[in-house]
Amino acid sequence: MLLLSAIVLNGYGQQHRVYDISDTNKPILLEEIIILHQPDIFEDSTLEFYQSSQLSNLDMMLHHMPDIKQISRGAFAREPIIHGMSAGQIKVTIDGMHIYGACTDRMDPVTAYVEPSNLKDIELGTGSAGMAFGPTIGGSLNLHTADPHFSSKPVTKAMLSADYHSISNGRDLAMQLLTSGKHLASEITATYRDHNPYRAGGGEVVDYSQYNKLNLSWIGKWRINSQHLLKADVIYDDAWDIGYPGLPMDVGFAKARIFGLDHTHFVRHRKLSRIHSKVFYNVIDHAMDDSEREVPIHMDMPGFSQTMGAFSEAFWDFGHGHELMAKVDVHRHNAWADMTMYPENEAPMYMLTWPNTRRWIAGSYVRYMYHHHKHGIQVDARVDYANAKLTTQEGLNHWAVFGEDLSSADQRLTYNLRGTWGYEWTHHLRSHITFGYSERLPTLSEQFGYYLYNAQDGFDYIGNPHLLNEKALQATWNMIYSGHHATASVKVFGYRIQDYIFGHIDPSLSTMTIGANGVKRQENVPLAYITGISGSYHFHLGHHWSLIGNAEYLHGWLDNGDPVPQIPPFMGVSALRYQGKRWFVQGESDWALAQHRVNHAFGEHPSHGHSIWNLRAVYEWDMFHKVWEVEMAVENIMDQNYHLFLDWGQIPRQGRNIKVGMEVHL
Amino acid sequence: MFYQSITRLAVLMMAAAVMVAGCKKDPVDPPIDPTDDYTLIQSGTVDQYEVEVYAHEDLFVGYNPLYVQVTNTTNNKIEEDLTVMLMPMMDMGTMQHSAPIEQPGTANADGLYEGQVVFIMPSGAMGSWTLTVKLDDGDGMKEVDLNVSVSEKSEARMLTFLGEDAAQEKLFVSLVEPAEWEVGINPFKVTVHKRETMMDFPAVEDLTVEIEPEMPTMGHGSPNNVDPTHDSRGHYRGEVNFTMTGFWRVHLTLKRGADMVKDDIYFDITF
Repeated sequence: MLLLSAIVLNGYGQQHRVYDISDTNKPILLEEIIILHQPDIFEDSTLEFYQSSQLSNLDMMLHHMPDIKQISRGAFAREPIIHGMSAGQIKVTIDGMHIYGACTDRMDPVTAYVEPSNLKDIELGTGSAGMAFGPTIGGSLNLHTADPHFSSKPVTKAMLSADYHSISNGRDLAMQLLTSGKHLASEITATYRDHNPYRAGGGEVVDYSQYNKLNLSWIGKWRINSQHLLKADVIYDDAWDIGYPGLPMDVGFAKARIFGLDHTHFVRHRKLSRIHSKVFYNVIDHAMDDSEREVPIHMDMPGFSQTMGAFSEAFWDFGHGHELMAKVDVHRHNAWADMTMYPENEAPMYMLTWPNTRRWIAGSYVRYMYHHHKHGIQVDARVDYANAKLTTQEGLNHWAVFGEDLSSADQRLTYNLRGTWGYEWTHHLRSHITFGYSERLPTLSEQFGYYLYNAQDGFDYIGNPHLLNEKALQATWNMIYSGHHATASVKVFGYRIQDYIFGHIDPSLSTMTIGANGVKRQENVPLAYITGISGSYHFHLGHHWSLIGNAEYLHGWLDNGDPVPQIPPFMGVSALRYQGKRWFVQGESDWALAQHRVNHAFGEHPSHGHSIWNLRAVYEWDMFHKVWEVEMAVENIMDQNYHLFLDWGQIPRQGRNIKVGMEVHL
Repeated sequence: MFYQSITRLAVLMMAAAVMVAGCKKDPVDPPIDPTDDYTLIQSGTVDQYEVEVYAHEDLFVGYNPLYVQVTNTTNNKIEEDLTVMLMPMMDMGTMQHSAPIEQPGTANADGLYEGQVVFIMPSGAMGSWTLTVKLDDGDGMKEVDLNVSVSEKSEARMLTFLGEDAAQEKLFVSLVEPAEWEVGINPFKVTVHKRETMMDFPAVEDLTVEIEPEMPTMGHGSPNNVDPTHDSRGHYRGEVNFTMTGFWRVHLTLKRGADMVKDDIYFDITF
């Protein structure tokens, strides 16, 4: 009963799930569990199902998560989208650290910088539940990095993993080195990926779909005493020669350097249980590259993003079911991007596309929870102050062309408020109702972007410094059944989005990009509506069989009757596994219906439905006192030529792929 | 305990703030010699005066601001109380002509006599330019003839044509370049003069001027340009907006009332 109450109320209610993929063999400190949100056993297994090895990539794991879809521009770094909301509408963080991509074309979502080898869990909050990480209307995705545990005796463990993909002649290598003692623990991970252009179903090679990357991370922990814990995170991610078949240009390199330092103080004094604080700094350096493409004029498009900040959160437990969490959060984001075109026998043409922007955001967040018998309530509130400025005269001059004097800072406030009521109908059945009001800031691109070309609709986009905050009213109802042999949930939700940010054609402006269809200015559309229903299930059938899956249907419309863009069709994933003693075999299916409701102004095209089948087998054995694991998989068995609705450029996805992988634990 | 942690956080935040803070540069002292920023074009002497003519750059066909410095060689002092006149003359053998001039008169705050000449053709086989500097020190007019060389810029800075309205004047439209073209709003200034006689090139003050910038390579323009309007002495001031660096072409249309004087002319600007 206690545990169930905890599931109802701990964490962020039903909309905030933690997908724990940590190695359960590791010794775990009691204190550390408290930091984590209560993992839901049902959700827990979703990732485990698909993360069959340390080499599965994060894009694939996200693809199988309920409520998350992806915008794809190639085989690399897909952009997460929650309930039809993406980019500035959602908040993607690594360990709560604010990170902003450096690419004006959103080729570098934050999810590109974490690998399964250094990922502990993924924390998803849909809609207003995302507010714990910042002002957001669509939700949040927080990637927790690995958390090496302390052990009473010194322990050193290592893991090596390698695999091969026939589809792209692709090779992946991963390594983990874990050392832990009573007071110190450290985990070093390395992942290397080298993939050539892949073949689509039918055998045709998709040009410009290659990628290479190296991801290194170090996570160190120091337990100073029973009350104080320090944790340091360093992520070094380099990707290079990345093809984006859905775009007219590729990426030369994308470099991320991410640093975080955490301090946790387990106070346990009176009602205050702990204080968790963090300082962080990250830089992203990104360079697009069109040297391999046939373009009228070659251009360089570098971008740079730098973020630093700190947050501190305190947790109180007042007993009798009352709990409180309060957080203060401040960060600064600097970004610039420019473009230089090199016409033949002519002077280079140069412009700033993100004209030296700087934004401070300071916020505070409070969460109050109360549970009593079968009832629980949770109230979340957040307020943020944002101050954005163009920091150079050059940047201001760019905007002066549009008659804008941006010499004084853009200051704004955002408010987020949410209430949830949960009720346990029976021991196994519970439901929640949530109402939320949320606001988000326009992104720097939306506000200050300067002739940003969008390959999907073929328009140059001009920002709008006077955009209003996007606001959403949200209502969600869900019902969760969790029995011994089955877990299933269904969720119905709706958003009424006010001042929806959307590009409108401005016929008075001439295009910058050769061949562009025109210029759009970012404007606020009075109203947009997104509604949907989603469901997940996990059934255990006898001792050996299990079935897991989820599906989601979304429907959205703008107030002029057009569909909201980026709304995928009814789609889902499912997998059936037979678990032996040291092996398992699983069949997976991945399907979507056709989507005919498209937003033509956004450059969308109807998509056909698809149904893809995969077969996967993993076998584990001991040899030389080590644990060995081998994985064999055939993905897209029928070699279907298909693409998803949210794929840019209607580029076909991978055809039949034979994957062979090997992992050894030392 | 709680306060300890808060203090610790504050220290960390302060550390972050220190990282954020930039450093400030010391102001640079202004140059002492006002001609330091200019190029010496030519010099000569007349009586006790040494005359030096400076410009921003080597002389070119177009609107050239000139700065005359007069030094009294007897006491080595800069003379700031003279009246200075300029007279450019092109000698083409069979004929001679002058050019549009804005006379310096008295000295500016830097003690320089600042005038402007629109050189309407380059020096070369066709002929050569002489710039006569006339000094009036209250004791008679003194003249010094300086040979100057004028070249044509790769991008024309002066356009000449016959007006297509009834007046049929020979017109000279010159671009008054700012110190630097940049992305953003740029002042766009032109002067218009006409040839009354070979020796007289008065300002034309009654035109309307329209501009339309374009990047020929890209086929795009820019928004919110301001057509130049007449200010004084044949100067027309407006604004041109450049959204990026590179090769721009600013098209001009000249009208007198409803009558078309000239269109299809342009200045190319690369920066």
